[in-house]
Amino acid sequence: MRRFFRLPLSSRPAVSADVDDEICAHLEARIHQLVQDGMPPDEARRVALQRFGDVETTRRAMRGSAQRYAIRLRRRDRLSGIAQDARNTLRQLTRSPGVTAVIIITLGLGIGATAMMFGLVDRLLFRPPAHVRDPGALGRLYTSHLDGESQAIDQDEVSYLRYTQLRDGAREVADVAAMAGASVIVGRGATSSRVAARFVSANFWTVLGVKPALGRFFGKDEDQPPDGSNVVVLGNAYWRITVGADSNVLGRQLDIGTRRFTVIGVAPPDFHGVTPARVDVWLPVTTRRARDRNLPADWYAKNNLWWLELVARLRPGATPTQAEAALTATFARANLRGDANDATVRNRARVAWGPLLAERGPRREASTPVAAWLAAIAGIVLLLACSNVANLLLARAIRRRREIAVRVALGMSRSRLLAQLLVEGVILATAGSALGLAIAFAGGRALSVFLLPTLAPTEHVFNGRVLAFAAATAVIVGLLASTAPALWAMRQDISTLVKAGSGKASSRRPGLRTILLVSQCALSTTLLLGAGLFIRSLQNARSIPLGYEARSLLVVTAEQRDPGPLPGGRVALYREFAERLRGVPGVVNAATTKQIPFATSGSTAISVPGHDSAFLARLHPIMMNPVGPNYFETMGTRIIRGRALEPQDGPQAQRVIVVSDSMTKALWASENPIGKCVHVGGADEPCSIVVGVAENVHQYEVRAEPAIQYWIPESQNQGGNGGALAVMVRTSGDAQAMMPTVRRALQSMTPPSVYLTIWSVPDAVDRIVRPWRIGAMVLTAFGVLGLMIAGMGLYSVLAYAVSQRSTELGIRMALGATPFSVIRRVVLDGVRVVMVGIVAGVAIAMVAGRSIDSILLGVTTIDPRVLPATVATLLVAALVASAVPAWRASRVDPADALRAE
Amino acid sequence: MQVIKGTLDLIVLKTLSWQPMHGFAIAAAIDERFGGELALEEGALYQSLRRMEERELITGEWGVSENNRKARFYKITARGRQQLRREAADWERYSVALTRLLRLA
Repeated sequence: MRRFFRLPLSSRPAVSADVDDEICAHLEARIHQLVQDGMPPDEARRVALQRFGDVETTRRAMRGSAQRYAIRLRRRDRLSGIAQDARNTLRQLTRSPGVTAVIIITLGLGIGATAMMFGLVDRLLFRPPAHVRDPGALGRLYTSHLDGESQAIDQDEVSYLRYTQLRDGAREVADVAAMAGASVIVGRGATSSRVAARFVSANFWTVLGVKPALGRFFGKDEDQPPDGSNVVVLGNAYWRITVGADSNVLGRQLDIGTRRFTVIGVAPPDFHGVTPARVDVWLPVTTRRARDRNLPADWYAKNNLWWLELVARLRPGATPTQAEAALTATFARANLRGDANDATVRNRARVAWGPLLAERGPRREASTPVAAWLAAIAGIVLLLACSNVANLLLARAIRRRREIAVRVALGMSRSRLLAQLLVEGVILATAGSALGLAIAFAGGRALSVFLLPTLAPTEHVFNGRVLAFAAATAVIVGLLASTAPALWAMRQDISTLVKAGSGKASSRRPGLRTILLVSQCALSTTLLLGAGLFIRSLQNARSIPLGYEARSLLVVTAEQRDPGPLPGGRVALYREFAERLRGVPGVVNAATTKQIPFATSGSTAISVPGHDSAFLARLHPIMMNPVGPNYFETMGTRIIRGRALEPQDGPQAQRVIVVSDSMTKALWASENPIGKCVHVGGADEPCSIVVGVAENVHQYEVRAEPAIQYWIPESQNQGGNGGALAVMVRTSGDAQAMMPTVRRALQSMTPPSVYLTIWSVPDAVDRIVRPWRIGAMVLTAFGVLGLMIAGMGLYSVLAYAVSQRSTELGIRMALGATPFSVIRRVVLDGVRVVMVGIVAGVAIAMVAGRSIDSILLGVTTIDPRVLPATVATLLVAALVASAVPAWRASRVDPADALRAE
Repeated sequence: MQVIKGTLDLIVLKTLSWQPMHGFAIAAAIDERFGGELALEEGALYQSLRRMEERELITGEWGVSENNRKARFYKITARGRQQLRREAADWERYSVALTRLLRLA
């Protein structure tokens, strides 16, 4: 009753009228009474008004009260309506826990995957670095110029000399700071450890606008060449871990590299500069020689060591274009000063202002586009999940149509019905996103460790932004998923709804659901195709002949920390190492080398009789590697012709050289290379006689063609640019497991000032094939997820169709249809939909495939192995999904079906 | 006799505690209870009714009066009764104290 009477008060005029009615009723009653008591009507009216007092004041006061009261009631009504809807929905959902669970899990996986990938991509490409003031005015500088041989060189690193020149030349428009990452040894003797250092210029702190958590940052006077001041700023996490966040750390001494540093400050938490990598210690750029003690004293005035990345802040009012112009002009001038006075040098010198986040710039990691792709795919999986949930909700709405019709007939407004369906969607999506967040939280850490191994461990990709993203996703997903059933409900005519029985065939409406199903199949086809392509790429990457046996190969390097030369010299130490290791059980062989696979490469000028220098320049780069005895045996590099380098190829013996197969082909075509002459180091050097041809070797890059390469005995390396840099160790078993043994064997003969580093080549190879492995793994996961979702969708649609058509099927069977023919009918229904989806999916893959071609390795979208396998997988899934409904259809009892009619 | 400031709500609430009534009847009942001695401004009565309805001490709904007229009937709510008890007790304490004060010679 209350509700009924309250309804007219829903508007302001209605409230006013209500108040007026009441006043009128009173006055009329009073006049009536007075007249009855014998008063003339005019008199009665006057008295009544007099007794009432000022009508206008009263009316205003009453209206005010009534208005406020009406508003409060309306608000309460609406809330209780929503609460009631929510209660109803929860009851509905718990009534069919299976469907509800499927929906929540589907949404959870979809939202989880999307939130996870969002976090990652956000971290890589969008989130500005922490603690940086006004990141919009910051940029990275990328240079490009011609080197001595007129080769265009694009670089994001410059020498200290060029840095100072650029900094001073662009002073008007931008403030340029320099930075470089490197590992340094902290501490002495057995307690020493390798930590992540970042050398930064003094103005780095002001350019970024960051404030220290403790103490101070170093200033300009502490960052003066040649050697700077020995001051260090600790990374926040490092400060916590090593000294337990002790605030008395300021003034403490720390042995870093060859020098003793004083701690002057601590960086704020989670501050890593402008890269995501963890930083333990921040050092002035000019203290670089504390790490690289071999740098010449005038290193800062030379242009041969390019190691500094540049970050710059625009001066207020300046534009990146102005900065680029000023920097380019300075850079060109500086290059001219060093190189020949050549217009082309000037014309080709260029400094570009790039995005602050390196991953958005021209020199991003190979895994970044993969991550972006995966994020897009996660979004697709979420769409899949949404469409499936919409499908399930729609099926349920149709099953509930009689209930809905009755409610509509009983006066439930359409908007209320719509609200209820939307509430249902949002409740499901909220539950799903709670699950999704749990998945994202657990998976995000794993994924970031996997995709971004250099990411600072304190920083989770999961943060408030991801949370907000997931919440927004939940709402959107809820609305999306419930839109289809809502639209359906809005379109229905009440009378047909009420008339239609809940179990009987109504007009079949396969349209929307079939479209959803086809798109699901299409998307999972695309995903599985993608997964297949990545798996093939990974296989291809793994099966590329590297030119050596990467498995069970270790690299040992030694780092001298104290000033002054090693007693006996570095090369001698490495030779001793190799000698010693050959006697260690579990070590098959060991050899010294100058170049380390996937870490270093080098070249020097050569001259070959019969070829001019221009021809040789076109072959550039020709890689050179001076190696010790047993090198080829240790690496497992096959000698195709002739012999390997032998111990007797000593400094006094005839100079010899082993060339790669590709070098033979390039220089001597089909001629016999053995006995040919190569002048290593230039035409003035004596002849090195080719004694052997080795197979091609991927020294640095897996995807490119192997470079032209040659090897010379380390003892004959007259080029003068240093000797051995590492010892390669071939172990008999698992390389990783042998690391401690190797370290133990070498420790006793290692001078205390030397720090040993041991790593395994398989690890390095792993790092290189990582993008494909991630792509294969994640796409497979998403593809299987998508397939499951599509399978469930197909199942629910078919099961629903069978229950809808039970009467029809019963009649067919009564008319003599065999169970088999019924099964075939249902299964064919399913397969037909899936086939359409497969065709669409392959089409999408062919279009999308063009843009991922560049990250694939040795496969194309239409791969003769991947495509059939994908199609077969989907068909099998279709058969499995339709098996149960088909079986159920074949069990329809004709008598029952007819009786139900 | 004028209505003492702030006591109108109490009077109306008390009146409604016997039975649901429309405004006109409330005015009549008050008149009767006070033997016609209280000069009640009827507009104020209606303001009081709506005010108390807003505070949910009473609820009003349209009905038909004993004379077959449309009238808005008010009913005291549980909250209204509580309020009545509290204010009546307050008033009693207040009036006893005031009376005692006034009787002091």
